[in-house]
Amino acid sequence: MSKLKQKRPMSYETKKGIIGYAFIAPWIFGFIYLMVLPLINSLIYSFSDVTLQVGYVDTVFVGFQNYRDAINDAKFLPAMWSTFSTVLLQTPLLVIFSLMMAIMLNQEFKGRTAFRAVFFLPVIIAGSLVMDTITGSTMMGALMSGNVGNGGLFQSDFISEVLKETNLPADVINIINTLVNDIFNLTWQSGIQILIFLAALQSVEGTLYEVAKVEGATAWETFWKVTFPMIMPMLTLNLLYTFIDNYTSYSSDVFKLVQEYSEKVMIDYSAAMAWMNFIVVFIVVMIVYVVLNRKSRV
Amino acid sequence: MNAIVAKIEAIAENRDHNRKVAQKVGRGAYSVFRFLLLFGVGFIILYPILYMFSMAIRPGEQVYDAAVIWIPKTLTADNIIRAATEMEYGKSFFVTAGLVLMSTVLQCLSCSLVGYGFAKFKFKGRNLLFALVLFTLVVPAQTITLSLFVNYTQFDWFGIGQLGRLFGGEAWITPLLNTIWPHFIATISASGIRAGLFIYMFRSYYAGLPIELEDAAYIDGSGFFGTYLRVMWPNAGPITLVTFLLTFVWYWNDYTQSAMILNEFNLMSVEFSQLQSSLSSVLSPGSAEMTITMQAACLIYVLPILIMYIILQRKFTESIVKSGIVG
Repeated sequence: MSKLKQKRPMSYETKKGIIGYAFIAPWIFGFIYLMVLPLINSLIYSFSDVTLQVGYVDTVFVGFQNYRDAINDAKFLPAMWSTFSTVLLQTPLLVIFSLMMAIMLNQEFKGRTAFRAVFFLPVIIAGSLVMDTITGSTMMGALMSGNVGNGGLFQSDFISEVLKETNLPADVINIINTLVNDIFNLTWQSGIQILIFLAALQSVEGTLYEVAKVEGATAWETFWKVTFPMIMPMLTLNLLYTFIDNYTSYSSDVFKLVQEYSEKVMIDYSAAMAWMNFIVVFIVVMIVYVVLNRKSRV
Repeated sequence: MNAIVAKIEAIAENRDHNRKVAQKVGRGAYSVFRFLLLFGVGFIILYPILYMFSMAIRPGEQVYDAAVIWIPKTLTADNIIRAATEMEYGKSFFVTAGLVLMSTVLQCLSCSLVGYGFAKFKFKGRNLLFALVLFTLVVPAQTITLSLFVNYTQFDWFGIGQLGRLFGGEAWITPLLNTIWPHFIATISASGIRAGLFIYMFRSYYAGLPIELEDAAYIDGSGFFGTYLRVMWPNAGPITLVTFLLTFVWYWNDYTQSAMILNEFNLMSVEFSQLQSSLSSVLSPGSAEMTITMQAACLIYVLPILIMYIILQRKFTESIVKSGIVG
């Protein structure tokens, strides 16, 4: 009986399934070797006292010692908070900004190709060392902060003057001011997001717009009733991408700190910091995902 | 009575006319506004790049010259030559281009393959595994770089080397630092820089291709892999181009990972990061000469990818728009 069973030829579905595993085999290998094992290792490091030996890593379990040290570190929690608050403030702003730009770049007008080419330029340069060097250059800094006499380029005293006339609280004025002066960073970080939105906008079917037009919807209504729901999934993706990208960027305060300690070969200590940060990112991503997913389903 | 009807008609017509005029004016005002906004933002993007060009080709005494803002009075190649010599540009260009090209091609191959596997085959745990693909995007690189670094310092052949310790000796290890192997291993197993994003893109793209395409190939007697290679992949041109360009750029710009595992490899990003300190023995930091040399270095660093972008950009934007980034 059992022999018969073995001899029965494999069904097409089963065969296809096995071939499927074969196709994704490279990734499974990479995932285990380059993601799961390193994650487990760094988790072990974060709970241990680590010394490097030839051929292996010597670890002595010390419990939460590294985590306690990190929390008591004068620099760690402030760095984490500053990164967290900046990113939380910047992410929605960046996404709204790139949505606006994508909508405009999606319309028909003369010179659209040229504008698109310029707008995606940050994709290839932003985030590299070169960008830091250019913007960090003394002359550039002087121009940007308005010390060159004929007024700054990207900083506006005018707006802060106007705001002072209103009776808004100082904190609010400060926030608005930072945002206005942040237009440079905003523009330079939005390349990929504009790309994603543009692709999303293109995928909305033209017939939907025709129907909206026949029914007499205004452009404003069309946007909120047709475009917006259709690109909602991409909005979620963009929000998450922006958050993760900014939060895990090497120029964020936390990771400068992690980098600093790992260069001192304090593997255990920096692993603990990196893990705490990872947990924060993961929780926020999950919250955003669940909330937005529920909303877009309704 | 007729007079009243005529009057009403006239008013209606007038209102219609007015509305049309208002619409036209509104549209005109909007397109002016759109142009100004796009122009302004475009200027912000181009500004640092123009600044870099302008600084890189001017002689030192014209840096703080109030009469020179954008276009220098005289041009010079001295800055570029100095930066290029200091960075060993001839060597580092070919080393970097070779390594990046290898990584990029492998990443395109592997991500396409894996994306196809997720799109067109049903197997147990597919959804869970795909969720894990997306999970890799959430893990901050810094969490794992260190233990990867340890792995590559003392590479034990995926654990096989540890058997050496069983036989009483030391583990069989090969140091892989400053070789091409770490990049090779990562990209061939679809785990290079942001590979999850590309797997995701390939999967949505293949999933969107009509099923008749593969069915026709299967009926004609083509195998699974042959179908993928000869029928499906040639259709994924746009997404392959996007993957190629982004991976190339990200590997070209990658510094933190490369500096850790390839710091003696003459990689351009590593050379560039050391430039300021190696120049500071000759030039004082903050001086005009230093500024223009650094800007010249920036220029020669980005020029290859800038040229590549200019050549590919029209196709690139078209591909993005066509591609199945949208799931």
